[in-house]
Amino acid sequence: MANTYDTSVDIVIVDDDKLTLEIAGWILKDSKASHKLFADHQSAMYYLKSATPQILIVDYFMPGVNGLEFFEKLENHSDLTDTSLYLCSAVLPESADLSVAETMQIGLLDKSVICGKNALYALIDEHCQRT
Amino acid sequence: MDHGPGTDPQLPRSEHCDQLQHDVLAALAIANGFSSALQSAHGELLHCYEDIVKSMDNGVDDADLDQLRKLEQDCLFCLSRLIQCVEQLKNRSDNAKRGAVKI
Repeated sequence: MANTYDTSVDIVIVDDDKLTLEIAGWILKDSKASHKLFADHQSAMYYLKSATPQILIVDYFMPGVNGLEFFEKLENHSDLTDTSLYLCSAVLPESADLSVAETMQIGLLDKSVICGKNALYALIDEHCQRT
Repeated sequence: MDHGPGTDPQLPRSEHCDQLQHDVLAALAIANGFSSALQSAHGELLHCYEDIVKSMDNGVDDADLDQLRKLEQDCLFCLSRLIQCVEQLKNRSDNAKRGAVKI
């Protein structure tokens, strides 16, 4: 499946799993999307304080901070108004406070979306059609 | 041994269980991603190879050979990651089994 969007899109993915970042990077290298991948949430936070990507995808299970906590912290430092936010996980724990996701309009993504070309391109296409 | 990238022993028990399940499913999703990428890269490699063979009588273009080598590298990259994914999946599956027994 080829991406249909004409405009350039920039995406940031934060996930402590190196192989997840590698497959996402592999998929995105042939797309028009520019991308930054972070395995370390602290480096990602530092970067995102001064950069606002169009799409931000954050893994839920990370050491030291979960994805929702990451978004909450980031919201205090960054203007996320024009950024599509996604929380990514293969499983969301029942204890996850999804009210935060609702308040911040964070979409929930299955892990397979960022590991599959068609699904990831469809997500980017959807973002482009919305904006 | 891989204990899952985000595995945190300080997590509450139910969340720890969710994480074990997450780690296995995530490894499966990644393996599936690299498997598709390998299939796609191999398809392109085969196509490129067939084109070169067809036009062999007119000589082989350096650009085509470069493309063939690039696609071979792509296949090797995907294959090596697929092997890592399967190893990761095995380790996480063992962890999940041990976690399930403990809980």
